[in-house]
Amino acid sequence: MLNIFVCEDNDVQRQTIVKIIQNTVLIEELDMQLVLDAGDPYVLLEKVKASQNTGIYFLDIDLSSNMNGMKLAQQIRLYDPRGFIIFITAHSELSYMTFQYRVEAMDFVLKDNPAEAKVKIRECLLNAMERYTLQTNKTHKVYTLQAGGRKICVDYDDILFFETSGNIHKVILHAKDRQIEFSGTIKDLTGTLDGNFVRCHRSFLVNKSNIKEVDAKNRIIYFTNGETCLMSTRMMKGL
Amino acid sequence: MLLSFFRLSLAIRNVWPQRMSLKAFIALYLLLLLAGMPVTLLSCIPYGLFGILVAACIYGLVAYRDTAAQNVVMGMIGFVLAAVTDDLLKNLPNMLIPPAVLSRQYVSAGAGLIRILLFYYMTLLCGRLLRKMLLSGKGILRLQQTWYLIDAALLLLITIYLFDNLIPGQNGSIGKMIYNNALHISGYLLVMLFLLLAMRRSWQEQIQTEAKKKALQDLQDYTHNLEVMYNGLRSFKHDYVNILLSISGYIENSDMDELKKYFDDKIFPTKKLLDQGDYKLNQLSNISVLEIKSLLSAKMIYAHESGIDVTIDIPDRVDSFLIDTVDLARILGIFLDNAIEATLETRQPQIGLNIIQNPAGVSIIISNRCQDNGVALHKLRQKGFSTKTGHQGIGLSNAQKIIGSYDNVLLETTMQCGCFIQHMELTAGKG
Repeated sequence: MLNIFVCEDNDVQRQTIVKIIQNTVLIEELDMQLVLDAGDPYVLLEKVKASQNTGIYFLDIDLSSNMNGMKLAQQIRLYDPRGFIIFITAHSELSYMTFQYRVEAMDFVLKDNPAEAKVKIRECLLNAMERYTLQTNKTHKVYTLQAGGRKICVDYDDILFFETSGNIHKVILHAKDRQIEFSGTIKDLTGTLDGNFVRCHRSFLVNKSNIKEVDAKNRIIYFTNGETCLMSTRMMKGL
Repeated sequence: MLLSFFRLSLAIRNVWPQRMSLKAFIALYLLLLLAGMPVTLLSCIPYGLFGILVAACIYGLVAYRDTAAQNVVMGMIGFVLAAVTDDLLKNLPNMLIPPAVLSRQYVSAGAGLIRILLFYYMTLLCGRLLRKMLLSGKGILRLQQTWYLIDAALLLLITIYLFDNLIPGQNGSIGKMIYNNALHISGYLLVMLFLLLAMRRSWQEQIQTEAKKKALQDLQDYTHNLEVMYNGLRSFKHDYVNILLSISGYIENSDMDELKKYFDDKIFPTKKLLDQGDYKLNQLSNISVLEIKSLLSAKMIYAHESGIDVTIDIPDRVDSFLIDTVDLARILGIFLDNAIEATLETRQPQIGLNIIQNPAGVSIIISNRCQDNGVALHKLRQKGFSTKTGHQGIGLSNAQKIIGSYDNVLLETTMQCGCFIQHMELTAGKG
């Protein structure tokens, strides 16, 4: 069950949004319920603190309060780290990315065009539902790393290998289509990961399940996406 | 003997900074011959060599005044080149042709001719390389500091030479001589070391000043851009008043049809003006580091003018980027240039720049739409790899190197759904 929260200071607009949401939930028979619609962010925050379930939050950015939508979202994140935050706003010049990076906002509904907003809200609800079911069904293990001030979650399945960077304090995670640098050492990592990860070289820690081919003669490991890494004879036995 | 001087002048001609006419070449040849004649005839080698060197120097100083200093240095290099090449070629005919054949007159003449030709081409090639290395745009000899160094080295050499001759007790024991010489040489090396250090420092300062200069230039562009925007805004304000007046005219006459027509034709299209996004740059005002602001504005203006849809989002004030601004400017320059170039290959070029001040530090996110041409992400980071033909692929690996030198800079690179993202996380202290 997903809880839906709406925070919008303009009463008329709030009613419109609530109506769209209720209609969509009814028509699509979604496992959701509207818990609260409020104009005051503090009221909403109190309710969120008390709530146990994951929530979907529709937030306006301008809230005519000393707390704006962004700050509210940051507060909500503290209590509901996996909730779905959707911003409803007229500020088209603000780009989506900032919201995404700051509070991992799921989407962004512009209220300039009512017809479009309606479609978008519906999409958001369906999307959230889909992600929620995926999250709960999937028993995927996720590796969480701390890069600077943010936490990044990477599926274990996506990790190819860890590599020491040119800088001794940094490690690079090679995933299927991203590379993430973070502070740490390979030695510290070895203990924290599951049995699939094997140290095959002084500067590489590989995920066995993503290896495509091992060239024992030239001591090169090929991965599913074409990337390669080295292995040393001494540490080859682990594979 | 005539021949060896001919070879010498040939080598000098080939390394000369400028093109040497035939007349100038003959003059050089005669001069060298004149200076060298007494030497070879009287077989007084050390002073004779000195005479030849002085002759070349004088020639260099007199013949082409505007590059006099370069002439002298290149002349010296010419000497070395001539000696080395000649030495190399001297043994060549002996190795290839048996002595019995070589002793025949026409064969030896032919071998001599080939030797000269080979000598000419070798010095020509070396001369070109040397000129390219030393004299072209960023060559070593173009740097002011190199000249200081050369001057200082020459001066020091002369001092030591004189000192060596003047100092008493030179004829004493061998131990004393060794002691003296060791003293001289170590003194010389020490002074050279200091000179080198000083030169390095002044060179770095020069780079910094140049970067500052560039930043100032970019800032001027930025200011100009702001002025244009402001003027646009003013004219819009002016138009706005006119529009209001004309609307009120229609309303007073209660001419609804005309009003509707006027609205559709004149007023509604002004929405486009607002959306044009000329004022996107205003968010850059949140950056208070001048060098970075100017760099970003320059790149973004360039991107905008190239027809790229530019999004800039800097919601909070950023006062410090926590690392050296020159380094950051280099990294950002590389990333933005890459982003602009990559996105121009797509049909709807698009670039996003986000700079976010976090409690832990600053995040800089540069994203661009890119063509998915099957280039794997990991290849991009290798040195020598480039998607562009004719490029060396140095940019990204350089950026990598700079980032690697900082403990508090973390880079995340993502390539997903035709979107390439460089996310740089600058943290305060050790992250």
